[in-house]
Amino acid sequence: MKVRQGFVSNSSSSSFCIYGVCVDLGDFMETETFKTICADYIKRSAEIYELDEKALAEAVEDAVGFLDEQGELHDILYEQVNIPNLAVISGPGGFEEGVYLGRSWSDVGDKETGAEFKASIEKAVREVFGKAMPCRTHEEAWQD
Amino acid sequence: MKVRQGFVSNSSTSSFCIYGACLTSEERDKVEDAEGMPKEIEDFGAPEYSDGTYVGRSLMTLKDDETGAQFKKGVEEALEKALGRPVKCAFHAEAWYNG
Repeated sequence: MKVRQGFVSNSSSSSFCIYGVCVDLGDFMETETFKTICADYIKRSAEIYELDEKALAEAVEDAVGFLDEQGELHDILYEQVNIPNLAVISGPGGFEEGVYLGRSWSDVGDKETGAEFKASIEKAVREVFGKAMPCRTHEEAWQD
Repeated sequence: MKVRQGFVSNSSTSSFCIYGACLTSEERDKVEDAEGMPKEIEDFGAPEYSDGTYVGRSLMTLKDDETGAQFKKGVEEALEKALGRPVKCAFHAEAWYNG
């Protein structure tokens, strides 16, 4: 009996199945979490942007605005966002159609109950948005 | 803050996310005919290019008081009981275009 493992769909389809939340891109970019990610990126990249001390402070103060002017928010979203205990996923239309934050159901630990799994995600989401958010299972599949 | 809800994929795509195994049609029929199967075990189908069908349990049916290990063990034991031999199970996430 042949046993298949892993993600084996045809190459033109994408899918995910997570427990978490989906919010508008603008709302995610308003979070302190995202602003901090942007600010940290600017600090690391100060030499590349050729920012003096004053300009660096101004850029960090409005990190999202600065990176938007640089045309780099897209890269930040896809390459720099790393939140503990949460995956940040885009749907079929990219992040412009919504930002999914959560964990795949397949990541549930062997010793972790369903309630603990959901609670850990709800806690992580609350920390991102500063308030409780309605979490649920999000299952998406689309043709690329 | 707007929170999106609902399944928004295009309608011509099928998908599932399960713990189980890809079985032949014959094996699937044996599982279906087995008595005492947990109701969560089901046939999730497969894309046309697949030579089997995926049988198992949707990850979304994990109960609040059930651990990941219990979930997996339940599927493995149910399939072993139905087929009369150990069945190597794994997480399977499939998505395919129905056209």
